[in-house]
Parts: sequence; structure tokens; C-alpha cells
Amino acid sequence: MEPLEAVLTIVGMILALAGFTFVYFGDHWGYGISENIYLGGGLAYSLFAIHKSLTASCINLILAGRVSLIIPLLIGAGVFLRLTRFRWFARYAVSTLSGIGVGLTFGLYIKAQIIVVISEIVRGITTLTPDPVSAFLALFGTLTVFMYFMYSRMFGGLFHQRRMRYLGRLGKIFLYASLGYLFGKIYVNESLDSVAVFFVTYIYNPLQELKIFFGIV
Amino acid sequence: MGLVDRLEKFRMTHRQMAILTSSLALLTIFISIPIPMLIGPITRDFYNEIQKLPPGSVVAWAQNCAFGAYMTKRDAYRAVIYHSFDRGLKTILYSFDPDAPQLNAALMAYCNVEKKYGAVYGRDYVIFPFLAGEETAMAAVASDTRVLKTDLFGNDIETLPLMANVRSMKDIALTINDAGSFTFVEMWIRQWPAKYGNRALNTMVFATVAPVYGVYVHGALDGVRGYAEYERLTGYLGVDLISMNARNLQGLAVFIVVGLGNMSWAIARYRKREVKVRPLG
Repeated sequence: MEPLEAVLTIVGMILALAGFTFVYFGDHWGYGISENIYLGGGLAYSLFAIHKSLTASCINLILAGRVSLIIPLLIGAGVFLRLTRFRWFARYAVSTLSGIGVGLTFGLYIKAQIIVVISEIVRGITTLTPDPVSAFLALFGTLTVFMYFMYSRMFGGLFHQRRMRYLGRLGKIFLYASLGYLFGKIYVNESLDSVAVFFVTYIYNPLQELKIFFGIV
Repeated sequence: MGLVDRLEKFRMTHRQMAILTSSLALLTIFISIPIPMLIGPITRDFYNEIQKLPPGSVVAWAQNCAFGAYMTKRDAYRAVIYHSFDRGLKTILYSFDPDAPQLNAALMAYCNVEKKYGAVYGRDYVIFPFLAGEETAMAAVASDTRVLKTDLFGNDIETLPLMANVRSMKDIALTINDAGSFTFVEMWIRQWPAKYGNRALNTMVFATVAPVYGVYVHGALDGVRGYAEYERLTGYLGVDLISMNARNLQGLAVFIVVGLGNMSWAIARYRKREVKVRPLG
């Protein structure tokens, strides 16, 4: 580690701690400095990344003779015309991008995220895998959630207030269970992870490197 | 005041909670606390998927991790790279996030596979520059790897020995993805394993791949827990074992506080007293 790197490591550690103090003290000048430097640096970095990406994947190739790439470049740039009085052109850019996006994903989406998942549930119940209870729960949970959560039906139909309402309620419980899992996993588990990794990454690691630099170890 | 009365009056502000969890995290960083750790099945699956590939197989890594996040899991990535090189696998690092090329370069410099394994860039591993477009970019690279004409360092793709036999995703044995968002993981599943039938692994949040686990995705490293388990499994130990200890202690504290809070609420309700909750701060 060079002396300049050591100084930057110390500054980075202080800035990281200043940012983390938001948890205890809310918005204050230390957090503000850290936040603004992060945002400013991030923006500058993104601009360089965009410039490099455009140069490497488009402009250099056009200059090398692939003039047909001017068409996608113009369509892409057309998105920004929304900010000018020629905003009508942005419709063509957006519709082209949407069309490509839908075309690219539609078939694979149906296959990977609907058909395969349903066929796995059916396979599970026919072969009783991974175990009979899980296979039954997966099938029953999926069916009852469908019964409760239908966009095409007004609330108050057969599965909500009439004879089959108990199945709908069961679907609601399955839905709550899955949301509870996601909440627990993402908001509790991941936030605990982030506190731990924050201290390890921004305090422990820099301190270890600084100890080596100053010859303490 | 009796225990039940004390329990009924138990309250905690979010600031006190933050101080408690932070103190526990700091404690475990500076004082080693040996907490036993079991290796979970999905981490074991991840390990076995790499373990069973024949030497010389090509692994493609779809990297969509930001640099800040990379710093928190550098040692786990190193374990994955070392494990792959131990098995004689070849690695292609694709970048679908503006940060990813620098991240991939920093990772390979950190791993220093040239010194440890005598690996050669271009023959044993390749890093590609950022390709914008997310799903479009992934689809393009998968159908024709020559969409990228040069690697990160400007070398012509045709001059890289590793890429000579890799024309499309059909030539890839295993794909690895790192992304925290559900949407990116879904894009990767659609465009790579679902379309080309590669085996696939995930290195971030298991919840993002849970619906297709066992169908397309066959192993995952689920956050700090997964990283720590994998480091223990491969023997390439890193800081995630410290993070894991911190996380376990914090988790225990959170469970205790949530339990006490619920008991406090239940007692107050039983005694028909109004529960006053202090505002955040």
C-alpha cells in the first residue's frame, strides 16, 4: 500500500462511518458530506461508463465502417428528444425498445416462469418429491392463492364471500406466509447481513490493511 | 416492581436497537467468538455443482454486482474462483453492470491466479467489458459470443485461445449469476439456462431463485451465511466467517427483543391497558 492509498483508506473509513451515523442521528452535516460525495462520485463514474460503453459498442464500430449502426444509435438518442419540442419522435424510440423487449422476453417468460414452474408442481405431486407433504402444500398453496388473488374477478365472488370462501381464506394465508418469508428474508436477514458486512468491510478490512502499512503486525 | 410489570413496561427505540446490533457486530469483529456452523444444503449443492464438472469445462459468470457490494463479498468470490481453478475449469467473466468490468478485474487481481495456479489470461480466464442493455445484452452474448469484438483490455476476441471453442452459450457448461434484484435474476434465467439448458448457480439471494431451484438453478450462496459456509467448505477462509458470527449474535438479539416486545404487548393487552408506542427516533 502506497502512502496516498493509506490516506485514502483512512478518509474512506471516516466517510463510511459518517454515512452510517444516519442510523443514530438522522440527517446531519457528516452524513450530508458523505452522501454528496457518494452521489457526485457515482454520477461521474456513470458518465464515464456510458461514454466508454457508447464508444466501444457503437461509435468505434461506426467509424470502422459499420454504418448500419447509425440507425439504432439514432433510435436510442431519440428517447432524449422527449425533452425538446420534437418530443413526438420519442414515441418511435420507446415503442421500438418496448417491442424488442416484449419480443425478447415473451416466449421465454411463459416457458421459464409459468409453464416450467407449474409442470414442476405437477411433477412434484405425481412423484411425491421432494417429499409428500411439500408436494401437496405446493399444489394446494398455488391453487388456493389463484382462487383468492384473481385480477379478472371483482372481490366478492365465489372464493371471497360465497360457498368456497374458506378456500379463498386459505389462499390468503398462503399468500401471507410467502410475503412473511420474503419480509423476514429480505428486510430482517439481509439487514442483519448489511450491518455485519458494513463493519467488516469498512472498519475491519481497512484497519487490517492499515496495520500492515504501519508495520503493527 | 415484579418481573411481569417490568416486562410490561419493556420498550425500545429504534436508536437503541441500532446501537445494540452495531455493538454486537463490533464485538464479534474484535473478539473471536466460536459459534458452531452447519453447512446448509444449498451451499453444498453449489459446491457439488462445481466439483462434478470435468476439468477444462467453461464457466460463464454474468456479473451484475456493483463495486460497493463486491467489497463486501470479495472473499466469497475468491473462494469460488479458487475452487473453479482447483478443478481446472475455465472462467469467462461477463459484465452487465457499469461497475462489473472493474470489479471483475479487481477480483482476478485479488485472486492472483497467475501466481497461485500459473494461469494465463486469455487461456484460463477472460474478462469482457460492460455490455449495455441488460436482457438484450445477455440474449445477444448467449446467441453469439462474437457480439463483443474485444475483451476488457482491447484484445481481439479471435486472439483469445479460451474463446476459440466458445461460440455461443451452448458451449458453456455452467453459468453463475450475481444480482440482488429479482428482475435481473429472472432475465438471466430466461436468456441463459432456460434457453440453452446450462446448469446454473446463484451467488446472492436464494429468494430470487427459489421458484426455479432444482429446475434451472442448482446451487446458491445465500448472502453472508452462504459465503461463510462456502468458505468453510472449500477451505479458503475469509472475512465472511467473522460477518457470520456478527450476524448470528445480532439475529439472536433481534429474536429476544421481538419476543420480549410481543410478551410486553400481550401482558398489557391481558391487563387491558393501552400500549403507548414511542415514535421513531
